[in-house]
Amino acid sequence: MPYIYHAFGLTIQSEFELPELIPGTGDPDVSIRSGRVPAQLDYARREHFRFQSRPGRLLLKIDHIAEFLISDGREIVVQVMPSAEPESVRLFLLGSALGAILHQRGILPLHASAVRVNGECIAFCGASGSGKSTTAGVFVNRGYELIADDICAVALDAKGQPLVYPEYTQLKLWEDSLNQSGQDPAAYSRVRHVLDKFKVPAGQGGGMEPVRFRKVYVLSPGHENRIAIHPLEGMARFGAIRDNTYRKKFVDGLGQSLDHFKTVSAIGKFVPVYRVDRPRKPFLLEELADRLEHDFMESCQENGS
Amino acid sequence: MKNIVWLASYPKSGNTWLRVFLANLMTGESKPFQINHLSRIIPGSASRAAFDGELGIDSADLDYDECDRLREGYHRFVAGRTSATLFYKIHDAFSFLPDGTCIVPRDVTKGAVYLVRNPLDVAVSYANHAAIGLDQAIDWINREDACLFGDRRRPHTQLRQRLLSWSGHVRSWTERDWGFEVHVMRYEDMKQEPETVFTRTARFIGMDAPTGRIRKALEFSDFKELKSQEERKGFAEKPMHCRSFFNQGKTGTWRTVLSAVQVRRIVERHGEMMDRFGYLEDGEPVY
Repeated sequence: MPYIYHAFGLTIQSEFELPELIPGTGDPDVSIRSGRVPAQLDYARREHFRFQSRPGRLLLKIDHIAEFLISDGREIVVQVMPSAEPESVRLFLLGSALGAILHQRGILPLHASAVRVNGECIAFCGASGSGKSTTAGVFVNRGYELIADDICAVALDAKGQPLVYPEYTQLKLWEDSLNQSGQDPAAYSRVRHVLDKFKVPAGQGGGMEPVRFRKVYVLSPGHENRIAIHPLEGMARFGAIRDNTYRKKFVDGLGQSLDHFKTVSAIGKFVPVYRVDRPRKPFLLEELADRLEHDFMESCQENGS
Repeated sequence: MKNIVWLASYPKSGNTWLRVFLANLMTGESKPFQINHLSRIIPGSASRAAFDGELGIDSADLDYDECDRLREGYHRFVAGRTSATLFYKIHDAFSFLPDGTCIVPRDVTKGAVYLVRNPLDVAVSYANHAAIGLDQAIDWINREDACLFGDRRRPHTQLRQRLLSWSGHVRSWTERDWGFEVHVMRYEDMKQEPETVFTRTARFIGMDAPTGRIRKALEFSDFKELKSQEERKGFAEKPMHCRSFFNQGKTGTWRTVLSAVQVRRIVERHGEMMDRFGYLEDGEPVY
C-alpha cells in the first residue's frame, strides 16, 4: 500500500515512507515511485553538472545516494543507489526533487523558512547559511507555529494574490544553531549521519490551509555589527524575491520563466519585503528575534488583524 | 581542451593582488576595477554558490569528503562548456583523495601560477586575517591538517579546503610535474620588481600586453588603491573579525613583530622549503 501525505497544498502518494510529511488522504496530485532513471535526459534544454532539464522534465543525480526523474509536476521516479541510506534519499527527495515538482506546477518555492503570525505567513529567506531555519526556530521556541522550512511554497489565488501553502513538521538545524538557542543536539536525530545537522520537531497545529503572505524578511548576514531592517521597494523588492527562489537554476530549463516571473511580480506587488542586516558573528539571535517580532506585530496591528 | 588557469597559493600570499591586477589587465578600463566584483572575473574554486548551482542541491547537505569527490568533475564540466580560458583562485593544496580523484582536473588544466611568500610574513598576515594571536597563526601554518572552512557545526559560503602546512602546500604544487606548467611568483619579487614579474606572469598565461597596459593595471592594483577601495566600500572577501583585508602589503613585517622564539618555530619547521625559495641564507632568514 502506498503512503499518502499532504505538503505544499498537494496530496502526495509515495512508495517510500516519508515520516517528515503529514499523513493525508485523497486522490494524489503527485506520485513518488521507485524505478530506473535514464543516464541522460533527451532533448535537454539546460545541462548542468549534476542535473539536466527541459520543459516538464528534470533529471537530478546525487552520487552514491539517488537519481531522480521529475516529470510534469506529477511524478518523481527515484532510483536509489546501492548502500544509500533512506534518510539521505529522503533529504534530497523532499528538497530538490519536490522543489522541481513545485516549479513544474508553477508554484514558486521561495528559499525561506516561515512561521504563522495571526493566521498569516511571515517568511525569512536568504542564501544558505544566512540563518533562515535558525530564525524560524527561535520563533517556534516563542510559541509560533512553523509553516515552512527551507522551501516556502507560494501560489497565486484567483485574484492574483500570493498565498503560502504550509508543509513541514520539522526544522533542520545545525549544531551551532542549536547551541545558540541553548538546545542539546544529542536530543535530536541527524538529517544524515555524516552531517552535524539535526531534525527538530516543530508541531503542525494550524492545519494545511493556505495562508495570506504577510511579510518577507531577507536575512543578510555581513560585516555590520548591528541589526538593521530596511524596507525594499520596486526593483530591489522584485530582485530579492527572484534571487531567493529555491533552485533558481531549475526555472529556465523547465520552461517556467513566465510563471516564475508572474508569481515573483505578484509577491513584489502585494507583500512587503525587508532586508535584515545582521552581523555574521555574533548571531545576536534573541535581539534579532525581538526586533523582527516587534516589526511584524506592529504591522499586523496596523493592519487591524 | 585545456582551458583552466589556476592562481594557486597558500592564503595571504598575494593572490588577491594578482587577481586584481589580472582583472584590470583583462578589462582595460580607464578606472580601477572594483574589488567587490573580483569574483565575477576570477572566482574562487571553492565557492559554494557556483558549485551548488551546478549540482542542483544545497552542497551543505553533503559532507566535506563528498564535496571534494565532486570538485574535479565539476571543474571539468564547467571548463568543457566554453572555449574561453577560465581563471580560478585556489587555496587547496594539490592533493588526491583516497579514491584517486584530485581537486584539480589535470586534463583540462592549461597551467598554474603559484604564488609563494616568506612564511614569516604569512604568519603575521594570517594572524591579522583570522584575528588570532601570532602563536596561533604559527600553529596553523605548522599544522599538516590545516583547513579553511573546516568547521562542521555550521554551513559556510565556501567549501572546505585542505591546505596542509605551509611547506606541504608549497611542495604539493611545485615539487612534482603534474602534467601542466607551474609558473612560480614570489611575493617579495612582486613587490620589488613589479613590472618585470607581472609582465612575465601575464605572458605565461597568454595575456601578453604592451608595457603601458601592464603599468596601468599595476597602478590600478596598487596597495594604496586596494586599501582605499576597502576603506570606502568594504571588501566582500574580508573575514568577519579581521579589521582590514589589505593590512600592510609589505615584506619583512615579521622583523618588528615576531619574537626570536616565534621565528625559530617557523624556520625549524619550514627551513627546507624556505631555503629552496630563497628565504634563508646560511640558515638565517632574509627579506
